[in-house]
Amino acid sequence: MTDDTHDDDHLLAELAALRGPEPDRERAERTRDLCHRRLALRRRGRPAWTARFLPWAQAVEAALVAALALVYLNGAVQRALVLLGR
Amino acid sequence: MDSETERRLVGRLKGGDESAFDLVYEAYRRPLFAFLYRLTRNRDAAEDALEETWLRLVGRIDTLRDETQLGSWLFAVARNLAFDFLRARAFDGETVGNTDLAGSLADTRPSPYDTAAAHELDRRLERGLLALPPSLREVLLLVGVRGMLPSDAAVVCNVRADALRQRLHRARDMLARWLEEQDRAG
Repeated sequence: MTDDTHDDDHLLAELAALRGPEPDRERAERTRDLCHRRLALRRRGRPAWTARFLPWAQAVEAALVAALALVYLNGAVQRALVLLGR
Repeated sequence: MDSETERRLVGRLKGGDESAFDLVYEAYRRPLFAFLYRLTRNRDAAEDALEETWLRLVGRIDTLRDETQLGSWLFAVARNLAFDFLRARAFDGETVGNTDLAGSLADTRPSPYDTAAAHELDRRLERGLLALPPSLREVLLLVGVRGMLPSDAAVVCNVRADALRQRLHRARDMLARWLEEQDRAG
């Protein structure tokens, strides 16, 4: 073994002992959750890309249902008022 | 993680198994982040590339063959994303090469990692790595820091094994010279 080789091995050993930086914990959890959602969609046979938009889709769906319910109730109240002669 | 374990995990991931994902995630998220951060020297870029690497894993799991080495695949994806970032930065007018990298890409905010890296030897090595061009630095990060076999690192870097060994030799020489110069100067 030459001195150079020895130095090289020593250098690689020092590099292997370097402490690594830590990723952000909260973001790591968000990434894990997102990947879990994609895997869950995969089990249900839906395309994985829909996972990113699923929370938005659920919010839009809830808003539409609420709006339709409001329209229906408004119509029902008006119909009731007509029937009562007011 | 041995290759047989990885093979089984790939099969379980294809079935959408979240616990299999967690095993892979815990095994690789820290080394992948360390690799990305040292390659890009930008915490936000490293975090973005890390997230994209995992999303690509779950999004492209069907394209993985049974014999795919998961670790090499993940590092290859991360490496390509890091170089996309470096190229974009270079395109934006910032220098990506040799010691200029230290000034142009270094995240100036002191991160918890920077604060924690108090050990003088660690600091010298980190600065030495930063002084290398990315194409040499990545080889030392994979073989030296990560402990990857040169043949596996060649797969990650998409070069032939003999070319990888040449790069490794050059990278070690350059880092050793840089450290000697620092010793003389200091």
